[in-house]
Amino acid sequence: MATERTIALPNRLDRDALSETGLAAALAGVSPCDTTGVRSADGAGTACLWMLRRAGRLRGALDPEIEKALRDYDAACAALAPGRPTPRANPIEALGRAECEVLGRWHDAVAYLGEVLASWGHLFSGRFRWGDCRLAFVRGGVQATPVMMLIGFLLGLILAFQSAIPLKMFGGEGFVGGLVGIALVRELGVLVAAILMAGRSGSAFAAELGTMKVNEEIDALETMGLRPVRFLVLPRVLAGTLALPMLALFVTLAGLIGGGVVMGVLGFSSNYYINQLQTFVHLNDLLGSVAKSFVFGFSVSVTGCWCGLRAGRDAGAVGTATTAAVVLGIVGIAVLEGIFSVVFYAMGW
Amino acid sequence: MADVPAIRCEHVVTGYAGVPLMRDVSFDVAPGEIVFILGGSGCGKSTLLKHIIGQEPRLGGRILLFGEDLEAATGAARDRLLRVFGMMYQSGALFGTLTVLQNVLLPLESFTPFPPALRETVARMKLAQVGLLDRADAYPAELSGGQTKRAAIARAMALDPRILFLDEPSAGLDPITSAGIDALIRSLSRELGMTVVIISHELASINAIADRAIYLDRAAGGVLDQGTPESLRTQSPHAVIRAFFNRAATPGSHS
Repeated sequence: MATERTIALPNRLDRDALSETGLAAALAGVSPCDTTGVRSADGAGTACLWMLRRAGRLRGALDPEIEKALRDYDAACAALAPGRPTPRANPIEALGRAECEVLGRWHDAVAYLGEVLASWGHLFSGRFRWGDCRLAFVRGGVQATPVMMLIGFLLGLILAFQSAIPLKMFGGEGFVGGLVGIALVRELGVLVAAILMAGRSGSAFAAELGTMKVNEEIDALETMGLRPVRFLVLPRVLAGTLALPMLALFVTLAGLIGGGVVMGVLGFSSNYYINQLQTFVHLNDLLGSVAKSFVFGFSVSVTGCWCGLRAGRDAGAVGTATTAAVVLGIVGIAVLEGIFSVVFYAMGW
Repeated sequence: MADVPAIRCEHVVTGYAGVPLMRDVSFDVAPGEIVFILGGSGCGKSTLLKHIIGQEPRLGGRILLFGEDLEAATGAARDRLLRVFGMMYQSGALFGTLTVLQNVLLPLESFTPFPPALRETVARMKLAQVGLLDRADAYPAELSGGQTKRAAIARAMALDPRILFLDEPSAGLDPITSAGIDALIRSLSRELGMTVVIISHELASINAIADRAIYLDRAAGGVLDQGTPESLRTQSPHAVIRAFFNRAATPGSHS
């Protein structure tokens, strides 16, 4: 009959003893362990002894203090209520729950939008926070102007070059100016500005309000009887609604300059280019674009603030809110763009 | 080695960004002691704690943990010294995306070669010690204030540190929960021989578990007085300290 090798545990069974001697790994084996030499054990040592005892591999008496620690842990485990078996998910119930959640979210969104629209009267109450609005306008509008103009200029440049190549095949490169003008004034100027604003300001609004939610600042506002929509959302929404038309005009202007540079490279004079723009681009195009920019600015700001207000309270909540603000902001722009296209078509614009 | 204090502060100049708060903080904490650091709001208690745990560079003097200077240590020596102590922040500072058990497991996974089963047993034992085993799978957002503090203490104890620093462990807790935390701290100190340094103004906690209290005063530029709670309450030559322990108002005495 083979004799089992017994591991004699050290006098002090602690993290260092377990780590440095490789004892922790050795204890994973099947050899019994002699505890007669153990005089003290830290948390790791006690845990080790508990596991050995459960595996029936302890030999010898234990120090009374250590024995007490093991008994305490046994008692803590026994005191735990037996876990209820996890009920099997009923697919119909799950579907109903999901539907209720989606409907609840829509209900909240509609209620929020209604509150935002209803609170515009607060602008004239004398208690509107114009300072916050100005700050949001400067951050989201004025400070965004250089990057918007750079992108607009490059957009016009690329658009003109890319359209010049196929038009040249038909001898129509002279119409590049008109094409760039229509594309930028009617669609691209406002669309690019809105998408950039969703990525820049919409996410910033969500991050600001999300952080306030995590820090319980929004709870504090509500407790004081202040409406977060009036106090926090309205200044940002007004700033975003006013900033986007300005930004869209700058993007369009920069794009037209970019298009003009390409026309110059193609050998057309600036007078010819301006004449092309006057021929092809009408006042209605500009008015429609300005109208869209107000709505897009409102949409992006409202969405950003909504995502911030709905943020959770954990560490990842602000990141999730920011991502949602950008995604929902861009989706909102696409949906509104589709609606405007249909409306303008029906109006004959 | 028996004479080496767990913490020794020698003429420490505390402060931030070159602006001193206190110019000469000197005291020792013996191994196994439970010491409270007291002082008026803004006197620099938390700053001193940050200097002790090496989170903020001190402006002068020396701080030794079991005879070794954390700020002067580098590389592996610094890593080893960092594991000499555990820290519980006032807010708990639990990682919100991890469960309570995962929070406690994190230092064990990072700094021990233990097999996973042993790591989990250690973590669960720590949670049992703080009476939170039944909340092991909860996320920090689902815990009450007292449970958050207990979970933070369990995480701070995960690597069996020799010193435990607690920043306001009872702040915002009801008296029963607060007394439970006190009992826990006392048992950790008595049963595991842990040195415990606590920043708190909770008089009930100080009277219940403190071996010694150190009163810092900004105007004095350091330690105004230190001793057992009873001796400070009855024998301190400083009216502000006697008033603190007798819960009496002394106009203008607090910094």
